[in-house]
Amino acid sequence: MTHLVIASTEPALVADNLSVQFGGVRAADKLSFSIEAGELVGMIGPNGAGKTTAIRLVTGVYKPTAGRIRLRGEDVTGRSVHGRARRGLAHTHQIVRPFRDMSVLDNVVVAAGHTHTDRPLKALLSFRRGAEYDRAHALLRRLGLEKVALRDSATLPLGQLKRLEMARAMAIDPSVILLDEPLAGLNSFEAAALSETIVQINAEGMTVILVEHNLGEVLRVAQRMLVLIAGSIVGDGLPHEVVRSDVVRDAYLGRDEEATADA
Amino acid sequence: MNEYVISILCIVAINTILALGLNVISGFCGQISLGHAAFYGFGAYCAAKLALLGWPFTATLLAATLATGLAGVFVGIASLRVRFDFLAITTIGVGFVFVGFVRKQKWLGGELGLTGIPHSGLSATEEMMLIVTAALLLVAFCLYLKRSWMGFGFSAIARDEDAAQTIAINVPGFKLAAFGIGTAMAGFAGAFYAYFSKAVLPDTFSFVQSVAILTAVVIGGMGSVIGVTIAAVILTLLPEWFRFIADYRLLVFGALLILMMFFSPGGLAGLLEKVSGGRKLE
Repeated sequence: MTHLVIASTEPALVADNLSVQFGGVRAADKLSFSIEAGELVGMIGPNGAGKTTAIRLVTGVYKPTAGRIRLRGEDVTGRSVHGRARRGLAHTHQIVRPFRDMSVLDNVVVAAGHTHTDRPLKALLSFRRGAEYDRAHALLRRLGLEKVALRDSATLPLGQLKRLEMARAMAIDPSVILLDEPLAGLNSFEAAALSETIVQINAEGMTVILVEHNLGEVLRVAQRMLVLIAGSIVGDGLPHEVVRSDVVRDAYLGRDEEATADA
Repeated sequence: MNEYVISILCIVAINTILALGLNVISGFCGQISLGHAAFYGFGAYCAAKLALLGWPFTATLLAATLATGLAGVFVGIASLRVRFDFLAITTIGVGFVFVGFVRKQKWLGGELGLTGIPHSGLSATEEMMLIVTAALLLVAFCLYLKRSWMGFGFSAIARDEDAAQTIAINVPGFKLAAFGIGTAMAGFAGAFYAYFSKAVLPDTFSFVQSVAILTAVVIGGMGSVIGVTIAAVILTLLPEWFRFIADYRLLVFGALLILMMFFSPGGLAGLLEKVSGGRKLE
């Protein structure tokens, strides 16, 4: 399988043989994939395939029992969630998590201040926020949230909260952004609009990993698709080719005999 | 100024510093602590012991403050492992362990505590000026802290720790800093108290004292520097003005807490915000 590779640059993100086990369940089993800088990669998988585990391994919530994770060539396997974020890995949550009782604007400003908040003493000694406000305003405009900038974030409808998650993630100036089901819960109009925004952000140079249930939107926007089943990657390639492959059809969409049995 | 007024002002200032310190930990950073009195006691015992060993006043104050801050960071490590109500229970435990330990130590005077603490070398009025000035400076420091990037980071952590991690805030570092700063303030208050009262007794630093400090923070409005300061001052003066409140102190504080939770969960700060039409109290 070929895709655009910019010569002599490290991949944006590499998962190398990641394994993790919960009780008897292998939630990730020698999970390996590589994301090149500038790609928009979709990751799909049926319920229980290990998507959430894969995300948590990559972001640092779970520590793998085996395997390595590299960000732009740097091994970050032992790094915390905030350590990885500081090294350019942003992610959004499937269940939105705004900082409540804080304005939409402040939600993004506090993220834009990531160069101040990486060390406590530095954070204590700095208080100017002008540049961060400018950056936050620009991001809110970019995501169509400037009209609600001063509203309490908790009062926004889901569609806007999903966008706020993205604005906040982008405010840390990441090199890779991992979107955990950003379209879940949106109506088809909102979903189409948001995936359009995702495409634009990617076109501006951001590496995007889109973990999604909404197969239609992934097929439409992703340049490459990874299929996760039982904790490992079983399909990797051009979206339309991947969904046609037998192994993916069998495992993701269900075997024919199962389908007939169900019917 | 008569002696009574001077000593009341000292106690008001001490209680204000205690409440402001807990406000950094629980109000700013959202880490509920029910063991703040242990750090007050830690500072008091440190200072009493050092003063009895012949250390000068200033050095004793500084050493007790620093030592308590370090102890606070150590206990803060617990906050990296446990959260919310579990952290509250852990800090209650810390409070009991402290008092239980101190009671049994001969070298700390056991049940009778440490007495005969040397004079600070300052007159009563000078001592009062010192602690009141310190309290005012700490109010100013807390107002600054709230506006700094550290304060901004704290408010993100208080709302959602996990989300705060994802935006690259050094959450463990910030939590330890909150514990370090808040408990160092308690240690300073305790050290001053040792010189002020000339005696430290284990019972002064019991769970009831921790709850009293938390009451001031909750009634003032978690996170509001001005609200917490006002609450600490009023809650210290009320029992002095009305004797019956002193007799039923716990009952009155408990009732106040319930009333606040019912009518203004945001405390005095929340109440004033409503009255002033949405203007937030710092």
